[in-house]
Amino acid sequence: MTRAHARVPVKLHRNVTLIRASEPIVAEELMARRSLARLVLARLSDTVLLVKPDEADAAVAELKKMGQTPRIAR
Amino acid sequence: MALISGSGPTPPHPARDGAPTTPADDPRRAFRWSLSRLSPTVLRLLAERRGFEPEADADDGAAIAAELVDQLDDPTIAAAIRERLDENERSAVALFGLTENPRWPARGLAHALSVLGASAEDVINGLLKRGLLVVAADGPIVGTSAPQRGPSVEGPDLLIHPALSSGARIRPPIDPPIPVCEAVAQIREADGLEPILRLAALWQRLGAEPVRLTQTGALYKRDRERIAEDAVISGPFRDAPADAPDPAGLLMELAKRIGLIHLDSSRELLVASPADFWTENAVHLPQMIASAWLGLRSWREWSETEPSASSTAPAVGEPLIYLRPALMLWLAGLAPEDWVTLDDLAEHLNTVFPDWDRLSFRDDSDATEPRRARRERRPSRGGQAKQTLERVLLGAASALGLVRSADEKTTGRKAVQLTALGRYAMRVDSPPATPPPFEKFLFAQPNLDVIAYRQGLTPRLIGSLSQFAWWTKIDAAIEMRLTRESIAGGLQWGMSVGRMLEILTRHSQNPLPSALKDAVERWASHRERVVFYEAATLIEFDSRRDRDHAVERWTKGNGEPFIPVGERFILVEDPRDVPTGRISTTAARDYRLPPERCVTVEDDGVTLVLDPSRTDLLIDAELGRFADETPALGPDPADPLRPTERRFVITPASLRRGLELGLTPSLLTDWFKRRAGTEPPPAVKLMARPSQGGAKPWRAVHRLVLHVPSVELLDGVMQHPMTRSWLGDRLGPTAVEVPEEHADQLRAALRELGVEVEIS
Repeated sequence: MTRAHARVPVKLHRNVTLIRASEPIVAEELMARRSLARLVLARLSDTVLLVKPDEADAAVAELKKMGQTPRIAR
Repeated sequence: MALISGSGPTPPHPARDGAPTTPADDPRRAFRWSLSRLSPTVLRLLAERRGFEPEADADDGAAIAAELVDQLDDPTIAAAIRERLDENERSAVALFGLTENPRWPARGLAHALSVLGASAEDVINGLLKRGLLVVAADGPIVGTSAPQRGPSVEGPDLLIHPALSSGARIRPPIDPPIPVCEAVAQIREADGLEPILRLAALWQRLGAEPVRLTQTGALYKRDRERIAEDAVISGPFRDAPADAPDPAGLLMELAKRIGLIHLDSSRELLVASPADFWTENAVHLPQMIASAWLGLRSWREWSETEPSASSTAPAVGEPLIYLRPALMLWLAGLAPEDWVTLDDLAEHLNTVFPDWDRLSFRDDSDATEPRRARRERRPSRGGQAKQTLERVLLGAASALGLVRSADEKTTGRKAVQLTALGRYAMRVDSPPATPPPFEKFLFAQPNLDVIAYRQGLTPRLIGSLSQFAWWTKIDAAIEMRLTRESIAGGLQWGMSVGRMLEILTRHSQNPLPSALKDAVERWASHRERVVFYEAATLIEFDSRRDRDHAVERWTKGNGEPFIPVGERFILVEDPRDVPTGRISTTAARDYRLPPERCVTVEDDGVTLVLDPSRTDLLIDAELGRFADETPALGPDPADPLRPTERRFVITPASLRRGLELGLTPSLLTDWFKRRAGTEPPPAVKLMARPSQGGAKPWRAVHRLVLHVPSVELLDGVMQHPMTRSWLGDRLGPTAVEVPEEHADQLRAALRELGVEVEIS
């Protein structure tokens, strides 16, 4: 089997709660807010933040308090 | 009343234990379940009265019940059964159908039937005896002994097969005839838009922020206050001649009944249903609201408690719930052009059923008191009757556009008749004519306020506008406001900016102000600055090379590329876009489930090894707080393809870092139990022990130890009276501590015994 047709071994992470910012500076702005930062477990990249799985509602509420109007992907 | 009831066990609740049960949400199965609780003998009798011989074994109750239900499933048989019902039985069945409630309390059904002039006891028993009604098996079980008058206060619920009630033809009562009035003036009729607009406002409010429910199903204080302070939802109905109590409560219950809002899966939040509701139900919405009101039980026209009532007395007003459809049926029996004054209607009902305006079922519990005495005890009888009619017919019924009111010309008395919508809702007329379209009904202002004239609004347009414009005032003219949040809400419901501007442009009398267009577009673009994924999928590759290769070649179902994240991930918003045909899943982790054990502690107690097949994204963040990653050991020679194990070490510095970030010994213990399945190792506990500032330092001392060639010789030294006084603790088989201050004495004593001691 050629590489093009081989199945690629991967690990799947399902039902992950994330925030994705359009630019790194936006992610910085979000992380500068302490009440939101404490709900973030890790920064997976410059623009993607891993949110605590059971804090989704709180994170959305914090984003709205910051004046953000995030698109919410359910 | 002799009620045929089951004697089987009360079925368990499905949500509590998951056992097979009566599904309360499925009326047909609930009906069948309740029938199956009856004894086979009773079931055979029911079948016989329906005129058929069951094929099932004579003692197989469940099978006979199934046959009785199957019969009603057949539309032809159900129609034939309905045809054979007498007028009063048909009224009973119609009450179930009109209110879209397959479950009625026996006392409520008896009250409504009595108001309609039927002998409630005979009607209900007749239907029970043919298995066309059944006592709900999950309700209170009653015996077969017949009380003297009507069902008791604590009476059971009655169920009907939905196929029997849904197709029932309505024949409103006409006997005795209602006296109609001659001519009327000052006709007042609501356009029926107000409840739809206010329901839409409630829907958009819950879309922006759901309300939270307590365990008893009441709103939390904060949400209750939020709703109460919102004048659009809680203000009195402007279109009704009489006030409806608790408008917000009425709207909330109507919204639940029509499916505009619903409980989320946690059953703790009331949330808005998807925007599709409006496109799917716009045409029938007025009729849906009317049916919902007819069968509404969690809201009452009369909810005040009697001034003399004790704190434990039930709230009055329950009979009005069942009076509601009966009153509407009486009005439906009038010709469309006929009016009846409230006074004449009250008098008419007095002759049909003197207790029609009762405010509580509690009276029945006091069977020793004659009815006449009870009636005479009531203050202001006429006032109560009039108030009852006003509350039901001039309150919510008028606000919903089901009843119009007027003044009798000669006397000035208030008169009522059903509107076209009311007659349609009562199934005695065809749907009301659609008003001519009025396209240009909006006036959009540069300050982002939008005025709407009611003539142009339809349920469909109300639904569309509700998605992106915040209702701020509902009056003769309607006011909306466009805000960043409302536009974001519209996008969240799936409406594009283009569609929002198209709706505004199409219906606006004036060209849309450029400031308005700019603001909408700016807000919409702002929304993509931050995307919140509630349940995204991350695909983790073994290497960056593999990930980049996938990003380069793979696309989602709609042709869009996948989003790379970090070094080795791609982000998939919709799990249906996961390219299952291209991947081989070596491990999977669902973040809605509790974290898995994925850590092994090495013998040194401070080195933690991760199991690559069980780790998740959280583990790095968790470990990073109090441990440091060490270089990997390299591939396993026995299994070079096996992913390399990652190792972390807990050092005093790393642990101090964790403690500074808020980690406590108890949190650490909890983490070790969840992730490693064990208590923290002693080496970690040693480092994590509470700070002992000011405590005495551990003591370390030099000790003199006497080493003796054999156990026996040391036994001798420790026993001998010349030497034993100068010794300390025995430290081992051939070693004993010697206090320094006794060293000289011990050396002298041993010398006398012929042993020289050398101290080094």
